Amino acid sequence: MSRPSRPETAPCAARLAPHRRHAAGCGCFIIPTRVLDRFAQDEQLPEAQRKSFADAASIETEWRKVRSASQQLMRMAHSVLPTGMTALAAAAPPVVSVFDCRHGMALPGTPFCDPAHATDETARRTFAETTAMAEFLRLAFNRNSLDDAGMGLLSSIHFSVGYNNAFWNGLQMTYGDGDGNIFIDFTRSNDVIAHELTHGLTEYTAGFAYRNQAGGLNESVSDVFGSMFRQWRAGQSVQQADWLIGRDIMGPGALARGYTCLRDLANPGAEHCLSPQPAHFDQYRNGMDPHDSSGIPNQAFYRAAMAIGGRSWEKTGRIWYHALTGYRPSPNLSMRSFANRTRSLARQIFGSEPSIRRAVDQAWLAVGL
Amino acid sequence: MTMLHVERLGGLAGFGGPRARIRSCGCIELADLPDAARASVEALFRKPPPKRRSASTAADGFRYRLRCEIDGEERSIEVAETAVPAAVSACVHDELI
Repeated sequence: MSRPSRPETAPCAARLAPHRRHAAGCGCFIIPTRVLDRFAQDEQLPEAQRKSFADAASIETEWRKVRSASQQLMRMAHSVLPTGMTALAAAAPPVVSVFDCRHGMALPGTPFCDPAHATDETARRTFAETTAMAEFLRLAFNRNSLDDAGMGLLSSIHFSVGYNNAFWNGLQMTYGDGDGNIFIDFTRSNDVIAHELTHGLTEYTAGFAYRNQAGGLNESVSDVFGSMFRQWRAGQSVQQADWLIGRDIMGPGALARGYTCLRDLANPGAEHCLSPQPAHFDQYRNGMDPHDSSGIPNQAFYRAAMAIGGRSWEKTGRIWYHALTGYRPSPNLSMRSFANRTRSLARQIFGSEPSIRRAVDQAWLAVGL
Repeated sequence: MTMLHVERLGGLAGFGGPRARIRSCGCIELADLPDAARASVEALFRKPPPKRRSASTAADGFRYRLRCEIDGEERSIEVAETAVPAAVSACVHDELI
């Protein structure tokens, strides 16, 4: 199996190309604009401080507009530009950068100038696995980064204190160190890193909302690509894979209680999961947390992959990838519509192998779709 | 004295879900909060974000359910982590169940 070639080391913010500098040096803080506005109008604060808060609120508002416009522009470019032009835009590999929050909550934090060789193990791991995920997207799906145009991949580590979470905020990945008891460092599971990156992929493609059925699909696609990436890194077949999400971030306290993962695609309701999920559509209800409802499509992917066999990313993954990326943005897609996309793609891509079409169909039928 | 009950929900691990074995809860007296934090909480209850926007804006981001008694009536709102003052989010404790 191919391994990532020599990674491109992320430059410091000051040395970034102008078109990428906005991400590294942005004033994107996690304080809500409303709070910044209130401080800006607080007459008990010195004038200079009020001005700083007003500036920060203005930057935050403008940055959100830029982010939204950038995503719309990218989608539009993909739909109207001739293939050759989009191919030119997609030629450059993504710059991977890692920032240190130093246990604060301001994003993105301070850049590591050379994360590949940093003394901080979390920084090195984040850089290596993020770079590998970009390589996975390129080799397995012929995709250049999340936007297919070489978008830089920005991660912040050591977020807050004992923070038991990792998230994608629309611009970047953020990882906590865990509390050391229930969870350890969230970068330790490479499927977690791929899970967060896949939220970015979804945002730039299908644009699934984060509620109801589309929310469940959004979370499921992140688990599916997280698991596939983990299998790709380990060179595993579907039979060899453990299909667990978050196995390597479970802390001693959770392991002592028998919880060995967050979720299990093979058995979403299993006792060893910290968050067991439904595995059949008859248990779906609107308003469910996406991390709950994602068990249904997770189980369908697992069943299809096991029936098709081989390596998950080669056939089953290809179908799921095109179901995610090959259509216009569909924020409120139903699970049944997604299932039907994969049925039709199985027929289009693997027309000469009817067993694949049957495997996909049976997998969805088994979960009630 | 008014007690503010706080529950952290969602996140990558699906805190507080119906089947989840992990939850994060806490409570704090509104009067014990710093002035700015108390004002933020009161503003959230006065004008809660619309239901569609109350979900976290970040994928895998935490949401917070805040509950307290106002004018003799118990009220509950759900907001994204970014809307919750640090003094409030600091009162929850993650635990396995």
